[in-house]
Amino acid sequence: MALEIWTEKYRPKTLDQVRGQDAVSSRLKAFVKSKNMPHLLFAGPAGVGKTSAAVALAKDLFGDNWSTAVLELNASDERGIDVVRNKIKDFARSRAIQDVPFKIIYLDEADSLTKDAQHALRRTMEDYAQSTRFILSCNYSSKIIPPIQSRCAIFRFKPLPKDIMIKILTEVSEREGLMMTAGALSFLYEASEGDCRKAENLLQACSAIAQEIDTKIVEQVVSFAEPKEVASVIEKALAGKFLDAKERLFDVMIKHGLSGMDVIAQIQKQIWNIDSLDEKIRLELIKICGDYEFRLVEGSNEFIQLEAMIAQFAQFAKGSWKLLPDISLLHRRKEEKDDDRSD
Amino acid sequence: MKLWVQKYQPKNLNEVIGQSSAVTTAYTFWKLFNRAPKKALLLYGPPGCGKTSLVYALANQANLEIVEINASDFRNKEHVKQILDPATKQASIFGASKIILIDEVDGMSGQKDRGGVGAVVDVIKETKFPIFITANDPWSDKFKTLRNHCQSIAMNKLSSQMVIEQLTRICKSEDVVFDEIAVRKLAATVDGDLRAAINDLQSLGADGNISDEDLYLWDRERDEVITDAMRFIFKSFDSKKALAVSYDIKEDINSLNLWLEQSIPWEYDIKSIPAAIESVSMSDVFLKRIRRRQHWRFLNYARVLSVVGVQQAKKESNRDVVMYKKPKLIIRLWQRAAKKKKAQGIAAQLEGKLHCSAHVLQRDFLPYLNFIEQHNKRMYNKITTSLGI
Repeated sequence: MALEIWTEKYRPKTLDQVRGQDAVSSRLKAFVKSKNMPHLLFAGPAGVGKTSAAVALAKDLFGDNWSTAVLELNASDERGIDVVRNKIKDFARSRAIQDVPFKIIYLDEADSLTKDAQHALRRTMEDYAQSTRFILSCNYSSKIIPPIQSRCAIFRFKPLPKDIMIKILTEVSEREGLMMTAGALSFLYEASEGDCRKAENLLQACSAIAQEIDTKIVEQVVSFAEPKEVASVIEKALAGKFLDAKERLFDVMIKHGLSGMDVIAQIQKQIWNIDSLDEKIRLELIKICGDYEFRLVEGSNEFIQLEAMIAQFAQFAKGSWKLLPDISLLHRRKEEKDDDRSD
Repeated sequence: MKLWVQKYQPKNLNEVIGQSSAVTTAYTFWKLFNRAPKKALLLYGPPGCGKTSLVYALANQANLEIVEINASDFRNKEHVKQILDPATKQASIFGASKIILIDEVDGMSGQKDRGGVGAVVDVIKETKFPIFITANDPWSDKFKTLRNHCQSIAMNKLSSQMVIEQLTRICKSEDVVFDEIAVRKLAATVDGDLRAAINDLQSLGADGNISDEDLYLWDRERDEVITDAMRFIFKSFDSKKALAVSYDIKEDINSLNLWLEQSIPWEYDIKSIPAAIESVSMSDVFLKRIRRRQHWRFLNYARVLSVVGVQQAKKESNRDVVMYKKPKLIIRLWQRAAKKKKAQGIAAQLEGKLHCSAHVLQRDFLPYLNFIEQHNKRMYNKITTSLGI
């Protein structure tokens, strides 16, 4: 059965369909032509086409039965390198159903492997190089140890440019029979921060409410998916209402099952949205975030640490600051005005 | 995820344990309501003996709608009238298919709930439906009129044997491996409060087993010593004494931190809170360093930070009496873990199909799926069927 998830439905099926990564895909096409390739390292931000390029490459190389010749692994979710190694061994040893020159192991989020695990991986890559090629994907190539980097051809994926994202989203919405306003498209782009997977998921969620999508609908989905309650935690803390802020904080963490790290990341983002905040105080708040993030990394109790953090925030309480709407909303407003003018 | 106290609430009157005379009284009161001289039944007894559960069990068994006011509502005169007035006047089409529950009536506080008790009495005078009222202690003067308008029935403290039986039953049904002695001890410490016992059981059993050791930290009787320690920390400035008392408590510093965390905002003003919590935070960091590096000397620092750090954070001590309550944080941690686990389960099923890791799915996919579920059931079903979940 065809998947009803748009990120899958509209995932590029061939390298020709991979967009916004021309330098990468032309080199990959050369591999298809020569029916050979080295180990590859794909580096780049989320949702710009790393997995899509790998899948498309495999399809172009192996045809319809590509999936029997490809093993997809998540470095971050598998428990420890041993699991990865065992799976890799089993797969590398088994014979592919069809006649292919090599099999492909796609290891997603390879940068989440520890140094030790990476060294182990390096051996595995060597041991099975005869029959198997690895494609490692990561956000930051600097987190991959040099010996692995030197064994791979490195491909850097760029953030998708706005015009290409808009084009992709326009095509998807046309094929799904949706009407999008220019403002909505633009806002969708801003809200997904150049991450195409996120943008398509967002778009699909929008389509759950209406066929005609304007900025209001996008906004509704965005504020649902990225709870803004965190903003009110800061607002309360900076108004000196510590107990309220604390209760709100704990509720948010429980309601959305957020980790301490999720919360700190969001708080940090929101600090930039506080209106008329003295820049020196803003800097202090960010420093405080850093301090407590360090404590979280050390593995301490997340509730206690975050509570201590907002208590520090509360020390800056003086009058009341208002939070601006999300930065991306500001962009949108500006662009909406531009739209109006061009109409 | 349901709390076990909800999940194992009695579904009918037969399941209400240890309260046979109250059950009979309540049932008769409801059944013969039209002939009842008094239109409200006051159920009183110690916490966790089953007062509210009994009313719910009756409602569930007889398929009655409950109109409820409890301590979480505002209960001043206007609010009580507003909520209960319609309930007392509209006769339901199907006869007496409604009951009114006024939970924890003795929790109505003077200031905020002004006139609330009087309003309840007014409602009793006019009601067309049976009113059930629960209370721990209805003997204060302000309830005198109310008592006169109610038929009363006392509910007994549950015996520890009854508590043990219930806990054992729940453990079995939840697949929690348990040490019999531990359950026995747990039952002994709650003093007949079944709700407390089940809540403790859920916190302790979250990891799937309950050992004697678990219980050591949880002993409700120990509360006295720890609240003493807390008093020294919050009310005095004598650091040596506070430290000395802190050695007497059975809780480890980790638990002490949870107690402190909960009480600091009630004891201190906003000027002292940051420094106090900062100390708890640093103490917590040291505790984790102990675990990481197996360097037990760090415990000294953790203790001093928790005890003296919090103690010295204040300018002057708060003269109000603060009730130190058992930390809520433990149950909160558990709730969040349950939530996370559920999301992870769904994400793990999908990672192969959607070509990305479970944690990316949790971040960039599940929120949108939730949105679709809430706004467009048909689309949601189509998607989930196609995904095979």
